[in-house]
Amino acid sequence: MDMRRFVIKKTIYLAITLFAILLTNFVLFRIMPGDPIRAWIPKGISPEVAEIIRENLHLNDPMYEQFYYYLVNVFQLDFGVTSSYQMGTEVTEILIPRIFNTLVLVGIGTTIAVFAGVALGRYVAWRRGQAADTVGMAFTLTFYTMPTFLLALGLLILFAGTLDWFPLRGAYGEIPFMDNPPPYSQMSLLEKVVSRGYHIVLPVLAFSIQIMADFVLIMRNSLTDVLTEDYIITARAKGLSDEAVLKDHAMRNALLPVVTVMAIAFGWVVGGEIMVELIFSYEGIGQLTWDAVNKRDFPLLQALFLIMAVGVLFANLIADIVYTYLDPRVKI
Amino acid sequence: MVLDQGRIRVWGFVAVVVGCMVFTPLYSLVGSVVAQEEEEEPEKILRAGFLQPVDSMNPMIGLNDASYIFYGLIYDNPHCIDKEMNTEGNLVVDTRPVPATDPEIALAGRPYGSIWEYDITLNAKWHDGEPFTIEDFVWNMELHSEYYDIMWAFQPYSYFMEKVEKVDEDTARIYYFNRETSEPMACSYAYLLAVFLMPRHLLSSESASYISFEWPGSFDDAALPVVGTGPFMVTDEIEDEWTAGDHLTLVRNPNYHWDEDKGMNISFDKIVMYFYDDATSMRLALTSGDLDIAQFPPETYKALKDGIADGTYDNLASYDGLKCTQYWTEIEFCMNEGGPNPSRLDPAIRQALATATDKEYIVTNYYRSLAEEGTTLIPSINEKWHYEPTADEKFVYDLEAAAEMLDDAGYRYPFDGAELREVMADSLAAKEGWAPPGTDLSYHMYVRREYPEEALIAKYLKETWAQIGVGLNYEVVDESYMSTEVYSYEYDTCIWYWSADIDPNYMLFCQSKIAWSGWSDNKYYNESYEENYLASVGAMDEDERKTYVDNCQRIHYRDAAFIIMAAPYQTYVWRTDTFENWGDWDDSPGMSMDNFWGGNPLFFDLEYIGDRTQGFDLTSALIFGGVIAAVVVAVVAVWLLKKRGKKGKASPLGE
Repeated sequence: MDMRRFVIKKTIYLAITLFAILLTNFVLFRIMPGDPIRAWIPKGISPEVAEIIRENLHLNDPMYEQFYYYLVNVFQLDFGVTSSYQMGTEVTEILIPRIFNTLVLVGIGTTIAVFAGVALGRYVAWRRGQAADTVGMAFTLTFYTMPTFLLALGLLILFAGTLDWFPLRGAYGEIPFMDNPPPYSQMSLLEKVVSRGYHIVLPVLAFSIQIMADFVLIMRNSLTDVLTEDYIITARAKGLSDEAVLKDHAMRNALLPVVTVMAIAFGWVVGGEIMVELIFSYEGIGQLTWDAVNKRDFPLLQALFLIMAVGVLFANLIADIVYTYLDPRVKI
Repeated sequence: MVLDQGRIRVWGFVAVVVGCMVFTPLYSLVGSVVAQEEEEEPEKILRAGFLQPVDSMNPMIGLNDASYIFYGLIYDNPHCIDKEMNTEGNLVVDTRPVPATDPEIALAGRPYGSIWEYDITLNAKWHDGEPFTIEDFVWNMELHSEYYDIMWAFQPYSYFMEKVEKVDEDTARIYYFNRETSEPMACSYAYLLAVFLMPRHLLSSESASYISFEWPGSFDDAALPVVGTGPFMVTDEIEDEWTAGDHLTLVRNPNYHWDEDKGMNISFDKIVMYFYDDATSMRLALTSGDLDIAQFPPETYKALKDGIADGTYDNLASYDGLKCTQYWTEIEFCMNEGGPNPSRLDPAIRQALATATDKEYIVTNYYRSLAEEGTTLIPSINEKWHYEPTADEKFVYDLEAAAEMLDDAGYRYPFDGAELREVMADSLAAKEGWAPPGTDLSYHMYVRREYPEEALIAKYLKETWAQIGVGLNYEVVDESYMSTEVYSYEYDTCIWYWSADIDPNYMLFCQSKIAWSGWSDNKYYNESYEENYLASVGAMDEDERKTYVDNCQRIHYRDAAFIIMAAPYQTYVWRTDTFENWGDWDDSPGMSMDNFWGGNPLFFDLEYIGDRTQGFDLTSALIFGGVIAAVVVAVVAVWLLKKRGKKGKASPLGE
């Protein structure tokens, strides 16, 4: 099978899965107990007024019609309006800036975590049994087992609360050394970058240290296994240098589990960064998910779940493709 | 020296990192100097923290306290509440019942007090520059009276409104009637209309349904996205800020009508409302000077209060006391003939349960003493209208007495050793057919998930009521779900809340039959209560009205349809080094941030005294930069040394 057919096949599977997700996402929120209109107005509403709202929300239409409208709307990126979080606002309008904020946080954080995690994992695996391995593993296990909120709170209290080096909250707004920064929309591009950079340092640290520990452990264990393989001895026997053995033979194979974890991680990355976003009041989709769950904002939750599910699907598709490049043994 | 590709990449990376580190502080320093040169005086900004976001920019939709504070800054009501919690004119400067000699009263035979005259200020302007006129007032009031069912948000004010008529350029008349009988009726609460007034020139083409349920609260084509007449205005950024959800910035309205009407001005430039998800972050923001005021949950508040007491926070002050919004929580019984166990309709059972409820224990253990025990519908912060039951009327916690009450009422144990009492043939529940003999005295209770202390209270009630042979199964649910169930009037009991303005009408209305299928959440009905309630609305003499209001509270208390448990305190902490004149909230409860009925007197008293700087100063910057640079240099040096030293080391792969 050539790569084109492989991608087409995978895309068809993806489409089927996507439909199943859409169906689940639609049904799930309709079988939950409670009347969605009460999310709009918890007290003081007459049945007549409730009926007006129900009509406006198309809640009286048959289920299949509601599903049809849901599909049409989803493909037009119309997720409706929020029912309790920022009531009445277009869900898309709320989602777009927050997705951007989260992508910046998760993107930078994951990049740092992956590169640093792989490098540190490689470093300690290469020195297994030595002091560097012991210290490195102690460091890794400490952060691996530490709850996200604890690390985030520690960083917040130390660097923002006590030392006042970084802002306490938000994704942007303040600019270091500037007393009255302009509103974000009036900032120059450079000011925006500086403002975002200033605000993102602590959330990125909290986020990346945690997941970096995962990658260190995986990389270290994977590389330790690979280094005992026969082909490594063969490579060494051929007279290749340590660096060449490590880089061209060991690392390539040891990276396979890292790629798998990266794809799976896309799902729990969102879960993990909820705490980071909450503690730093960083306006991303983690914080939004928390608020939407608390307020039982079904339209918003539907959109968020869909985005997360689609994100994981695509991450897995990319992982499958990357896998074939990394490991020629994988048949496509 | 010739560098290989790898080295070029490494040194390039190092150069970029060092370059960024040097450039960023330099840029910021230059920016800071330029900004300081441009701005002669720093802006005076009041920064308030909230643990809940504003629900909606539409005042007909938003419900939480943060939303109401936001509306109270942007919009004005006809009337507002002063420092001492008295009603004061706002957009309406003079309010009076039309005299009995007026032809419309005398000739038409309408009762005195059934027509009120309202003189509006001619000094007010909408934030987009349009003048506030009598047409605005008339349109707003007509909207609420004519579309009473749809304009649900302010029904307690509009139920008795019949029509509104313009008299002249600054006066209008509102005619009041009994909506059920259509008979003209005096309206004693008409002196306080806490209804946010909306801009007619921007909304009059919209339907009531749109305004009430769909309007986002902002305009696309207006001079400003949100237009009110209040002391603060939004900026063009408001919609972006709203969508981002981080903060909302409001600027002082330079043309606010209180300058000309009352000679009162606000002396600072902006209010920024910051929204937090986490109380610890908000606490840090306040203690480190990023916030000026915030209200905290009990545990965080107690920690801050202790810190203030022991001198840890010498720039903070705290206040805990009854909320001016008259918030209280209650055990509520459904008074409709439905639900799992209608035996609860017998007042003797509810009275016994009230006697078996230790409010002192609840306040101490579940509200951490940051609450006051509740009794009647109008809480004690409203001294003028509160009715405190006499010793004879009061349900004093006494399990033996409670058990005896149930015995006497015909709810006894079916056999020795039985855990639950049963409905006996001689009980009222059996006689009325609410529950057949043999029905266990066991009830179902809904509790809100969002308030963890309420689940603990329910657990305590289950254990306590079991001691008098009454079973309780509580279910912790989302408030929206509980709302659905409660308003279907098919439940036994739940723990919920109410809050109200300072006139007794608001709360009495909500427990009146006229609010059934609307604001009433338990279909409470008592003929005597209804008579007294209607009489209280119609009583223009304050002493006479007080008698009726007291009667309502007494009747309702003795009926025990609500067992009002506690009035939780407001728990605010503010900085004393940035603003002064926060006021004494015990003597002047209307100074609280929670006074959201427009024209909050707190903002007119506050004086900025801070010398606010953000981020760190030059010395800190140099220290910070130095530390970072030292770390980077150390890391690079160690890395280079390691790289050199590595050449001589043995390979882990063996020789």
